[in-house]
Amino acid sequence: MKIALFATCIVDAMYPEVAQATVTILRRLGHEIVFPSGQTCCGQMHINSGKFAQAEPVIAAHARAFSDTDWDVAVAPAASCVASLGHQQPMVARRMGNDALAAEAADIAGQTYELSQLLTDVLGITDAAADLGSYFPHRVTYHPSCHGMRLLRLGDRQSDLLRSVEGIDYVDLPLADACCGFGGTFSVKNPEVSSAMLADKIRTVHSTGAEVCTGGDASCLLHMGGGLSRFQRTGSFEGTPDVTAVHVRQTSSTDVGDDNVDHLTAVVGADDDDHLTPGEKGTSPAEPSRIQSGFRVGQSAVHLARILASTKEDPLRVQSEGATVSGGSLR
Amino acid sequence: MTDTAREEILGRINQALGRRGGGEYVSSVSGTVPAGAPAAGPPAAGAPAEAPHAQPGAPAAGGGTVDQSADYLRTGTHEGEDLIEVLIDRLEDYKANVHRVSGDPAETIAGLLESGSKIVVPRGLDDSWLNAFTGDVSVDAPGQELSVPELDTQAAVVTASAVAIAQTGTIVLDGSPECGRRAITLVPDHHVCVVRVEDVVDIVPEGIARLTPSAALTFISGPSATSDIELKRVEGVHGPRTLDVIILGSAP
Amino acid sequence: MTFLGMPLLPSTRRDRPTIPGGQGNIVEDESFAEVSHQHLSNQQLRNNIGHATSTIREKRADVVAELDDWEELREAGSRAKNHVMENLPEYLAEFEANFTAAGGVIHWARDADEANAIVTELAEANAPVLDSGRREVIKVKSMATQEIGLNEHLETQGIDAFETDLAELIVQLGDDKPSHILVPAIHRNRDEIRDIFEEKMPDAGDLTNDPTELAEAARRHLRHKFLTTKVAVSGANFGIADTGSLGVVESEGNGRMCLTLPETLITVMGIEKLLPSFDDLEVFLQLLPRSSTGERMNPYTSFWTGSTPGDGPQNVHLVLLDNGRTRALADEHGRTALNCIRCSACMNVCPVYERTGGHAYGSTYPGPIGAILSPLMTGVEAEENGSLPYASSLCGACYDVCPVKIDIPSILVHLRNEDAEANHSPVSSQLDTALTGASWMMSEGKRMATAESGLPIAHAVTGGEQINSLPGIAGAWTSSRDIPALPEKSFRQLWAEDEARAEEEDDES
Repeated sequence: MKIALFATCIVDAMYPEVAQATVTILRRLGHEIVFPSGQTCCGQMHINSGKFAQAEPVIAAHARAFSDTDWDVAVAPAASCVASLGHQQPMVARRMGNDALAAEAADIAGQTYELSQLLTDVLGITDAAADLGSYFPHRVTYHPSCHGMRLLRLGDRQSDLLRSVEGIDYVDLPLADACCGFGGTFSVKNPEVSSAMLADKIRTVHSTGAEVCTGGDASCLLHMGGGLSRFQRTGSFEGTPDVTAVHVRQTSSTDVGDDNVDHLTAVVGADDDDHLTPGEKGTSPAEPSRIQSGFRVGQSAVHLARILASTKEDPLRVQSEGATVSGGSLR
Repeated sequence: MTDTAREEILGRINQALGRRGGGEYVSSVSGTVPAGAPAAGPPAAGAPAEAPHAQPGAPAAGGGTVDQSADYLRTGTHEGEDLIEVLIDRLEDYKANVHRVSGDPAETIAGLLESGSKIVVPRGLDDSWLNAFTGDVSVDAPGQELSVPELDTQAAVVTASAVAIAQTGTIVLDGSPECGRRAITLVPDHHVCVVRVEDVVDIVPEGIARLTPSAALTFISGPSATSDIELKRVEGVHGPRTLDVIILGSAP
Repeated sequence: MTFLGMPLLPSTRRDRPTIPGGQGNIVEDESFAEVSHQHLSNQQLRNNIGHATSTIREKRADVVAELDDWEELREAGSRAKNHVMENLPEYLAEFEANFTAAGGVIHWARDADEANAIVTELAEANAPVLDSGRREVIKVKSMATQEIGLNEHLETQGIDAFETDLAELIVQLGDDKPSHILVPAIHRNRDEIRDIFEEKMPDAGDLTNDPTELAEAARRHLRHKFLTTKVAVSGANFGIADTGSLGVVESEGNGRMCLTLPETLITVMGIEKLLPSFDDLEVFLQLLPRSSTGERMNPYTSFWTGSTPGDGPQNVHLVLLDNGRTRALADEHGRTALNCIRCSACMNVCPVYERTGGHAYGSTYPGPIGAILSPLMTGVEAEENGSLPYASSLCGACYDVCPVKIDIPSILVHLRNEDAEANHSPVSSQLDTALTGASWMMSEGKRMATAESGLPIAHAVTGGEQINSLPGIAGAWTSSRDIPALPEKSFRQLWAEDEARAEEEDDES
């Protein structure tokens, strides 16, 4: 099959290795990859900022790039951007009075898949170890990004693929369905609320004792990696209000299985018997919000395409194996 | 002034809906509602998929479609003793006390009331139900309504009911002679309510279908409760704090 | 190339301003970011709200999972409300005729001031002057009267309005504002509530912080009022067009007290609350309780049709309120917000609400629904509400739980566009400037390639190091997040190099 790669702006400019991993996986399955050179971005940044007029030429650029190239299906290693193609591009084009562009955008969106969607629904991959040779012998936790969950309805597609990687020690992320707080320009317009959301997310990632946190959206991973890095460097989020997690309280480390780490366990929806009364131990206003110690060195974020691309012959290294981590992202 | 306000608001609505000079009258019968209004229906493209997964096989990457033919349930699946058991389970879950009686309920009712106490009943209640009760019975009837202060001195009220919905543990009173007017089941602190098995339905649509809309209706699901303090459920605030339900008759 | 030059702007923008926006407690005083700053640093508030929302979230999920036909019920609910909005004049006329035929009196109010004046006049005509020289009314919890600031207005007119819902009582006694639609005192914990009761209820005596004891204190405090007050004011959850019936859904029995015992009942209801037919309740009485309190059914629901001889108030009035609803209706991309049945499920799942609480939204309507409803009712041109559409990460959790399927994230994006078009600040923000530049760059793949060709330089300038601090708007980002080192080359460059190499190899072979 001839598969067109939509790299997305953030992967293209910040995480080229994620696009390379996507190409590697698909070539391993014997497919031909094309890269429409006129591509730029899905336009979501402008759309979600309300700048429909500025988004329109970006949408047009995408439509042009993918109409000019011959391909069978398109793929992007980004759920949020794929969702934007279908949910937003036609709407914005229509609102700008450009029905022809709306139709063209909808047409392309209808043939563009998020990576795990393409692998499972179109290419029939169910076992990453057997079908892709995926090998990653590390403790991994997974954040299902909001748009993958709620706009694309990816369900267990990504996590099932990850669980089938050889050697992986997959651990569920508590409160996984909570937003990490990125939200594009939300994190610029309301940075403090965003930081509070990020802090809670970082605490749950930390509680898993996983070496890497993965997911299907480079934007969310940039955000979470940035938070992990900051926490590890400073033990706090500087310059933001006290951001103690509301539902996360300190417990012993034994149940999570990693020594030397002062783990946090998420308490979800405390019930009547739990006595987690607001203001009680663990959530009291007096409790220091800063995690001064205990962060696992080298806890980092990495896109799932790179885990799927990792093999015994050409493994993805983690920080404890000498890999570079920059801004919380595994390079 | 009010008339002016009426005309002005209706004029604003017409303007908002893009009508000029009023629109056609549309029948209000529900169920004939056209799906997918121009403004409110799902966009043609990019609509969120409603299925937990996009359709396997050939999912449209950006979306999916809602199955418009699918409709909600209008009848339940429980019947006979199963139906009664669901009702009991749900009533008890919300802290009502449930009693099963197949024959004469008089002894059971008397056992729930304090002997010698004052109770109020609606005028249409079956007299024989109180045969075993020794106390002061006031009958509330048109022209002989108990005043609010009098109601406040009653220890309990005994009524029948119009419908009971098993799935939600809901009893409906409809102001009929054996249910009484609304105040009598509100002011006394203890409500003994008789539900006949033939009045038990499984789900909400079946219950609504049995009601007379113009009646003053009260749906009761367990005793008065609040969750306003830290979401802790506390039974008994302003309504009757004790709800005894007698399920009368044998399941068919 | 499909870009056709200057686009056509939707014509509705030009029509809408002729419909006046609402007034009262639906306008922010300060921007969301400013208020949320204060609330984020209130740890007690965050603890209380986080505990409450997570508890109710779980309860809702459990009872929704019990129903196999939940999605079909949502679809039916959405369809019925859309249908009402499309045919609102007809349904209002039908409702009016039926309610009036059953002995009720209808008043129409264009805005908050008019509604307040109507209620005042009715209260003056029906509530006696007490020894204190003032009149008294008892109230059922109502969003509409909260929205128009009725209690405050009545107070200036010599009328004391007593809130009877436990949470509203806590809010009223604490000189506070509601912060949640369903549980208005969600931001208070039991200790705070005990303190308020002890201070403001002279008859309460010493109390512990046990919720049962606190509820009992409220019962004693209000009992005499219920049994003696002549006039009650309520809202309504539903108005049924084909019967002229009104309905109130509640838990404590305070609603039944107000709806049943007084001689005069004055209900204030938004014009959007109608349902076509009594039969539609078979859908909404399933959607509302499960979405709202997370119960299969709330303890008490009352329906009345005008006045019922010998049963309940004989002097029954209804104030039909616009106050910006027609303005919202005029927005074809936002009008489904009027479908809201005030269940509050969106608040309980919202990660932003969970951290800021309801007060940050500056309106009677907080949370995700408030972030769209308030600007829709005032018009987003009301600059004070311009920050609300940005108070969301667009995570979509609100849309998933909405019982009438209001696509809140899409309406938020629409309102951001309205705000951008309204152009509140003549001076472009740094973000605006950055977005303008990005739009130019991303309109052509070649421009983006050119911009990315600067990556090696940027990489060199930053020494290949991660970025821990940036100036300007990016500074807010780097206050709590690091940024990875820039790569030396973009994927686009790497791909082109690979292609060139492959071609060379092909040529050589």
